[in-house]
Amino acid sequence: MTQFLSLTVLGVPYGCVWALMAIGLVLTYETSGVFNLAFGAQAYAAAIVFYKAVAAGWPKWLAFVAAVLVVSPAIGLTLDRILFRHVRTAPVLVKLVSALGVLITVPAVVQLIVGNGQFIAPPVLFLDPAGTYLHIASVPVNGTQLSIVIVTAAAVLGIALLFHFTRIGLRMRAMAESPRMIQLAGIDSERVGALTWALSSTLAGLAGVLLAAPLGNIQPLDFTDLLVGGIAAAAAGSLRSLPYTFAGGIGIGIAQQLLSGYLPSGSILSSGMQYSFPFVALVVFLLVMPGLRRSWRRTEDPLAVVDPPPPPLSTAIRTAVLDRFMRRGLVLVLVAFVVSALTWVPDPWVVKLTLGLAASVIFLSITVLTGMSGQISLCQMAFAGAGAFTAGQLAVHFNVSVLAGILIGGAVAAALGALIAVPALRLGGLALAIATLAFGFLADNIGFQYSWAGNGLTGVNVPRPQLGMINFTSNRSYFVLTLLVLAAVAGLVKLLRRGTTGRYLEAMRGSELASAAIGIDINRWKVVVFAVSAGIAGVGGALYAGAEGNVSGANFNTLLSLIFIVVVVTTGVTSVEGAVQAGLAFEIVTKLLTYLPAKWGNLLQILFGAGAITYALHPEGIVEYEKRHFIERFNAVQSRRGARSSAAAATAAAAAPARAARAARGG
Amino acid sequence: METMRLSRVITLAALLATVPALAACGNATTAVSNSGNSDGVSATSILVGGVASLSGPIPAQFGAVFDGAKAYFDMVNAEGGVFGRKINYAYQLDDSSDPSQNVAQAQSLVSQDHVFAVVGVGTAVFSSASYLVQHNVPSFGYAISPSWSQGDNLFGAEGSFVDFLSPGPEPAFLAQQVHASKVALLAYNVTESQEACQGFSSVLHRYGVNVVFSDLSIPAPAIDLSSEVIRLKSAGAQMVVSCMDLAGNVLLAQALAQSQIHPVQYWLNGYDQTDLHQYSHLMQGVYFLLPHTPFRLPPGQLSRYPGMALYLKELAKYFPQDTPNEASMAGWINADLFVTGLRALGPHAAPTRSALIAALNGLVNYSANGLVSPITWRGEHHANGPYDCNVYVRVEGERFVTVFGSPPSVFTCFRYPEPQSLRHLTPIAPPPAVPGA
Repeated sequence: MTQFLSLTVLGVPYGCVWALMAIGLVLTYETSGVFNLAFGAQAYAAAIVFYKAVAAGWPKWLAFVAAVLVVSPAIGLTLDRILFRHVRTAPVLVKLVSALGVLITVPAVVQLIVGNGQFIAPPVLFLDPAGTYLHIASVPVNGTQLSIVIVTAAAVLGIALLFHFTRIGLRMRAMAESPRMIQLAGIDSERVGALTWALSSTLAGLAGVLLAAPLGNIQPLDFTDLLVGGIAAAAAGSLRSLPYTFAGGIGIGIAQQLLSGYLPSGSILSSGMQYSFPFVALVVFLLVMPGLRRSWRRTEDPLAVVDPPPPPLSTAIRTAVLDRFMRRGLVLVLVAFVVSALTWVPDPWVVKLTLGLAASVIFLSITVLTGMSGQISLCQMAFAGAGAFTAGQLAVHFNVSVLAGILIGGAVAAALGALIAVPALRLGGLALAIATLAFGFLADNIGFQYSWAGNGLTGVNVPRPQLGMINFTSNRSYFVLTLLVLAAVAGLVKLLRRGTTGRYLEAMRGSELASAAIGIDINRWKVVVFAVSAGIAGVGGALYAGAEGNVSGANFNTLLSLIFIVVVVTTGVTSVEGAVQAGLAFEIVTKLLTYLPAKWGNLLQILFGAGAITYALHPEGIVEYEKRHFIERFNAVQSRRGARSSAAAATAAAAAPARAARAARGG
Repeated sequence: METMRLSRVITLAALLATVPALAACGNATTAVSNSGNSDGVSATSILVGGVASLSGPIPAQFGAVFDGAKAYFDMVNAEGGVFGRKINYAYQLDDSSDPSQNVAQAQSLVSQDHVFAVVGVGTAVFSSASYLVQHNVPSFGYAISPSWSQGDNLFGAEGSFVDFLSPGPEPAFLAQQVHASKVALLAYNVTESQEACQGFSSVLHRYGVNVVFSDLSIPAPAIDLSSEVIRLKSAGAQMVVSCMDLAGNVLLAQALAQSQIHPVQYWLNGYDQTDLHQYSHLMQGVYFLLPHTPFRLPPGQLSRYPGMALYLKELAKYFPQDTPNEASMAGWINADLFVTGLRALGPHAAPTRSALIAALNGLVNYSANGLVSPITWRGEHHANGPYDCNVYVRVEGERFVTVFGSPPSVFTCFRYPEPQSLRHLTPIAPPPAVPGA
């Protein structure tokens, strides 16, 4: 009984923090329609500022003011101004990718500033962490726990008062109902929106500073993981009710500790529960609460369908001359690339290029799922990991050839994908993205930890295969193998797009309702495309593993899933070429960054995070945008030159036609 | 439409049919290669590099391996190098605590940078061991995993044979000394950490000490260990053995303090003056077992350990901002062993990798001049020596104080094979080759 009570007491402070996070999340979701996945990153930033300030000898109250009341709202205001203000009416994918960009960038920027050190035993806001302040049925309550409960209670009371008794609170509530309505009433909705972001960010900062003390270790990934606790609490309150949100948060906090205290000791399940219970709770909420799914679709702008169609692909507007030039150029570049990789490129670079090709295969899985069917999955790396570990474990324990392992790995990943697609079918859009995010974290914290799967941090050794007389041990021969598989997968994706499946998917992306009306079995095709995409990711993961030699969960963690989706959508999600370029660029840039001092190791995340931020302005992908821009300029120059030469010829003949030529030039 | 579906079925069938055919093919294996035997050696210099975890989930202070090795090489170069060849310590790479990155960085040192030897390996994920063995590259590092006994070209600073699963009787001896009969074990779900605690579990069991609680699958990096502490409290543990890193240990101490229980703590990691300064309130009374001479010796004893005196002096000279720690001393010993081997080859021939490895494996009772328990490399790559000597220290205030020991030496030694009952478990007098004896 004492153990039960002790664990319960342990859970309450966590529950309080989940509730705070949930309130902050709902606040911005209701007013701007952005489900701010970067909330955890903002909490992390504030926790670090507080830690550093206290370590530098500042009094705690001053450190608190700096971290929670100055830096946090400043982050919120900045994000609103440069990013979220502009995506209010954008589709779910754009909002999501913008938030993911922030999620990836903020911790990387913070680490760049404060270094890669460890931040353990963070200070408690007030009270003595090891002191006992009261007993609940003989279970001592320490200073960390009590301080969190007191601060949360004060914060929630403050917010309730703000909403119900102040003019700005009233405006925030009105904005949640309808931004247009308050504009009609002559209120500056942008200003109200900015204030909401500042308030939400302050709550993130407060949650971060509070959470750091019981966690004991400030790590960016933990804060992102634990954010799911906040999302689950928000879900418990149906994204609306404050009391239910609060109760949900505390319930989840307690259940999590009880599970981790009563599951068999020393099991991965019991240690993983600390992180993973909120995911399970969240998925259950998503599945059993139909109202919740509705409210997660609500903020899609009904007028979005009248937006002008996206600009044509750059390849479609190339003139014949340019097209011929580009095609020949492409073949030349391709040949040069392969010949170089097989001759003079040093070995470590060959490995990197091979990894790039393998990453391209994984990226193609995103092209299929997001580019073709418009669905969003945030756990593609979990599928890639499933493929990789299947191939590795089969090779290590059953001496199965990795070549077969690649295919079996793909099949296992596809099966896993189908399994997830079935409940995910009922979701869609944002809810689907969040459910897959939860699955990704679950794989990181539990699935990949088992020795029969990812084998924890130690990982699995994946040998290079041998096919009859051909030995793929050397880096160059494995490069060729990867290239062949990539070509096969790319061909498959092109066929898929050109065939019935592609047409169906295109129709579904246009309108699910209309597709259903013409007899397309939407659910079936959603499962198919999810499974195909997961299978491709699995094949890519297995190839990647063969190139690396040893892979662990760290190679396939959810943060990478997020980075990858950001990379693909920013470089161009719709085309096979986009995926291949993204794969190669990703690995090459990673390798180049290793030549920088260790401090700059996070530059990659900052770059790609910044890429995601551009996505808000160029939803076709920044690379695609630049390409189209270039071709348009090229075409303009071409036509001008063409016009000028014809004009010169005309002058020689007669004056009158020259005027006509000038007119034709558009002068 | 029908034909399309049919063709799709055929494609799928063809794809599946290749699976068993592919399964019949094998996976490749590789043999030891001796190419590059004199890579990196010129008339005036010898090129070397190292790889350590400077970032990632378990960086600890592994980066200090480079400082220790660099201080030693700077000292040697200032004296004119080894037979006129300066040591060019040109590459110090980061493996981000990532097994695949560890392999990639070792490959880049050997095949791209063409170093003669890898000196200063500090990582919890030494997955490049088999690559380095295959290419017969002399490699020197901070040996904290069993991977170090994979080949005769791998030299750990305190010996290469790390057998987590059957360690010596030291933890049982500690339990006996502090009168603890119920013990709890905590480890990360990382092979090295888990195996260390599994080994302790079997030793304690062999000597009749009860292991009342063990959690060997804590995710790294650790967060809040309160629920583990609640469980070990209800199991009545009197001593807690932690096979985690410093961050995990601090979290453990914090959770113990917050739950108001005070068992004896024995940590594998955290013997570091800087850390003690920062977390001294949490570290009081914690025990450590060191395989080397402690940095702070009883008054007047430093002269009995000339290697320690030299290390402290040169580290202070070349890295005045560094506090001596285990990783930097490991790097120092690595460099010392490397240079000792080069000197043993004599001034006349240009060194080769195989000659260096052979020379090192001929060394008898190598102790880095009083820093570690003596190692005779031939035979001790893959097995224990005839006896095992370590130093117990305990935190008192802001100091690590040597406890037990067999004066005048601070080392506590046990003979192999060791006695089988706790009652008969007594240390032997340190043999003459042991530092301080």
